Amino acid sequence: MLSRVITGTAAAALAVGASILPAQAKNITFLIAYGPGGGFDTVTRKLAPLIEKHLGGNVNVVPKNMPGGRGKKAANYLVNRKPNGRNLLIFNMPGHAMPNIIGEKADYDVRTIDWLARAAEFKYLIVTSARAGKFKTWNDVTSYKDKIKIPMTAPGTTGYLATAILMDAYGIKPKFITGYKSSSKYALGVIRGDGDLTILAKGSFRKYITSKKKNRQAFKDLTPLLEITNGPSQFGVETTGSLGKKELAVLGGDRMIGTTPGTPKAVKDKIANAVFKAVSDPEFAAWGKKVGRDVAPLNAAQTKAKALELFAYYSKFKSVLAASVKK
Amino acid sequence: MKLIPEHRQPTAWFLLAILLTIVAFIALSYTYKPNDRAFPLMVGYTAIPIILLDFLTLTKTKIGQKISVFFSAKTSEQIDQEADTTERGLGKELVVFLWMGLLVLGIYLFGFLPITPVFVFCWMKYRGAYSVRMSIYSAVSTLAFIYILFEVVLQYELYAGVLMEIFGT
Amino acid sequence: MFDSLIIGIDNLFSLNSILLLMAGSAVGLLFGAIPGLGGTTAVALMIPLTFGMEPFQAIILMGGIMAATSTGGSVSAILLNTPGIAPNAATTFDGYPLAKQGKAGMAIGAGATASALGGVVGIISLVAVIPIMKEIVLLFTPPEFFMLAIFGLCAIAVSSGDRLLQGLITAIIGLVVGFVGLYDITGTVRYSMGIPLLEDGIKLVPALIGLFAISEMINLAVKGGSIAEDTSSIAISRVSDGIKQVFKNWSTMLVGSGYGTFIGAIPGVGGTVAAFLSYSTQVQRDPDPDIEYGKGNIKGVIAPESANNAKDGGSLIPTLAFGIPGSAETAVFLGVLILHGIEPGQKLLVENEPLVFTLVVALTVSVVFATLVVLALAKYMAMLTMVSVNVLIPTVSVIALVGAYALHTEIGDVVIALIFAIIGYFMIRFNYPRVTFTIALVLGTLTELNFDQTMQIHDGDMTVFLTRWLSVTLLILTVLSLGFPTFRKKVRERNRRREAEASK
Repeated sequence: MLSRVITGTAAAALAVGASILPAQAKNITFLIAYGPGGGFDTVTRKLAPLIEKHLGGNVNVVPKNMPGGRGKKAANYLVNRKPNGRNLLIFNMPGHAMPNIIGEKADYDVRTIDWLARAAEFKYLIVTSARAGKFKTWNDVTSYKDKIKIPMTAPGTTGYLATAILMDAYGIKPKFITGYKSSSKYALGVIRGDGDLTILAKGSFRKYITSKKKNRQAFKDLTPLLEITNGPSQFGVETTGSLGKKELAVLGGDRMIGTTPGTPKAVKDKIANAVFKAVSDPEFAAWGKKVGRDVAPLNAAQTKAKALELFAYYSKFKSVLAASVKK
Repeated sequence: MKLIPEHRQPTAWFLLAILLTIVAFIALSYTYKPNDRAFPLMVGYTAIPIILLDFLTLTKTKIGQKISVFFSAKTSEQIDQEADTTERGLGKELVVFLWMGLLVLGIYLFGFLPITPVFVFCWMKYRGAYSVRMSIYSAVSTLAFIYILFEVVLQYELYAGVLMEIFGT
Repeated sequence: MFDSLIIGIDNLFSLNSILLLMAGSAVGLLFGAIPGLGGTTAVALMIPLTFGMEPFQAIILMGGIMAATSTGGSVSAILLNTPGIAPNAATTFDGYPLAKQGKAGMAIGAGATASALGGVVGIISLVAVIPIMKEIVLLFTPPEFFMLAIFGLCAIAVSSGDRLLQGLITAIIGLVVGFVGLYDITGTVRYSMGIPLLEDGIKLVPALIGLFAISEMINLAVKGGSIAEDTSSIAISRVSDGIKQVFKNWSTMLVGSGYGTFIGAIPGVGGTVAAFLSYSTQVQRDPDPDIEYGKGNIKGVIAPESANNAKDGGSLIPTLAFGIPGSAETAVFLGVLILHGIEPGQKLLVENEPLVFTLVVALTVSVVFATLVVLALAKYMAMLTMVSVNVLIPTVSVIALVGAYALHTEIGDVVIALIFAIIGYFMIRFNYPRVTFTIALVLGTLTELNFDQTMQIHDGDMTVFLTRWLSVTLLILTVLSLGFPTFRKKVRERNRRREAEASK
């Protein structure tokens, strides 16, 4: 009796499911170190079919979420696979490098990953609430100094580290208000007046303020204070470069795709080629522009060099980083 | 334990297990920094008097009855009367736990797909005394349901077992 | 808002969506009718099905399930004196006597109709509150969230009824379990005992699958027999009489719906309390009944059934607006939303209005659809409860474990489900409420996090909770809700006295 019911339910479910999902064979697993819905998830899901397209043949690229340990779980999983190029992962740099830098246990080392390409990067911007109006310029911030409160994600996250390094460079000892789950949550925190200022990726900020959606109105209260760049400011505010802190321009994030170390050169080159073509695909660039992600393709060799450069740069701040995690 | 009537003693053991868990939790909390342990400690220390009060309601003492009435408007006798009176032998329970434990162990070792029909068949045949035909029928339908739904439709790679991970490809 | 409503309706009226909604309603009815399964299990089990669906499709499926369970549950409550889910418990008081008198058809007709109307009232309330919710979004800062979480936690005590002390104990265990894993304030991993699986905390869905579905299977295995012990007299007749009765007693239905919406909206209280309250109010409002309550008065079916369906709309208010689930079922639903990249809470209403309205439309259609199905199929559904446990247990256990695994493709979650199944079994065995555990698990970290954030923002100044009007209001509501059991006790005593006088 019950089996009949179950079979019936199954049939109904299958009819529905089958109409929604096409059947696929599994060839390459494209790991996502975080849960569905986030930035890494969307980038990976956007890239998977493009990589398929440029690989040609009958290879399917199947995205798979493997959240855990702030991205460590997926990276550990990747390096423990057979080196056959069947598993890819978008690394979050410098986030994924952090355990290697501060000597936390991890199976992987970002310096030995077989890098394939870089998909996107982002740079930061310091924002405050226009409503509160406490700070008009960055100078106001530096004179206010130690009473500054910064809503932020947990200690050890990329945003926290960048803020810690930046504030350290200006001799400011801010008070972090931690525990926000995402950057849009802490941005909302600044708008509500939970804290004074915070750091946002330029892409997200642009998306918030230019959004035509009435719904995003609240975010229009955000106003930029300081841009992290050595070039001219896109937002008409002071930049770290113009204030003589050129070394800070590195602060940001890179989304770099890698595979299991020790992958045979022929296999690796073939995949690296397809992945690079995918990240350079005009369709990907157009999508990035639309959703506010700075698509920034790099090939395998450039990506490897970039990974080593980032590692060396953040290693200089080992003490700041270690302190922020231990706090 | 003498103060607690025999039919309530299993509940008392359950409560004792909770109490010990809470004590262990409190001890573990002290290994964390003040910011990390403040809230857990508050919860832990609140738990202890509540558990002790519950212990008292299990006893035949006057104070226990008063506590019971205060919190539930009923004496523990009234609660006993309303309780599910099914006979539950510890042996019977352990056997069921063992079955479920073996199911999970089997899944861990061999994966979902081989274990599903085996478990459904064995349960129906040996616990339900169903005919071999009926048992096979259910085992196969369940397997088909899981296989088609997860592997075919949802493109899911169901766990194939730790043995497969070690010896397989 | 009307744009969003139109998008919502548009989302629903495609072949896929209607199939999904019907599948959801069917599953909801089935799981509602089989005692011990219930909506929480149904929603949890169907999660893997939603992988690969568009968010709105997932919402339609889940909406279909949630709206249909209490309607399904009323059938077993009436026919077999066994509430399909806890909120149907009050329905048994007059529903079962009616069934025994051969008026099962009327009772089911009235129950299902009251469910549909109550459900619609609840949903209308939800819609009415949505536009105001947007304005409130910025009002809620960490101190307010802390107070809201506390309010939810205290309401738990109310909802555990006669088992207050025990409800508090399981709530504390829920809090303890919630502490496991990374703490976002300090970035410390707590209570993981070195197990990598626990570093991210104990995941809600595997824990709930263990606690509700598998523990129930263990319980059945120990008890033996079939779920429904008395399977006689399930003849259905005069369904239309029941429908008429609801319209005749419209005020009973409306009061019940009001209770359902209001109590459903308080996080952590839920349909069971709403249904009982609605029932006891009905008894109070009707001091001179033509048929004594408890002996087959149809109004005793209408009151709780309209309340327990109205709570679906009500309990979604805190779920959608604050990410604080109003019940165990909405807690799992919350998980589904997050899984699909929809962050419930303040941002949802602001950014995903069409999705919210898709849910609203799905709930409305589903609650009506479910009622029609019940009216047509009540007889066959009741037969399901006669399925022998030895078919039910192995199949449901295996499918539930696959569900626990599939969410994160993490084999450790299967072990988590087993551990919680055993804990859950002992809770059933010793009559310790499981719902309080679940809600504490969800609210615990929220409480701690918002307290710590408040202290960080206001430099450790505790008076902030008393100087912000919204925070104070919530505090007052909390105190009032704690006084509620006493109030209920008084009502019960008065009723008892009246009954005693009446029988003299």
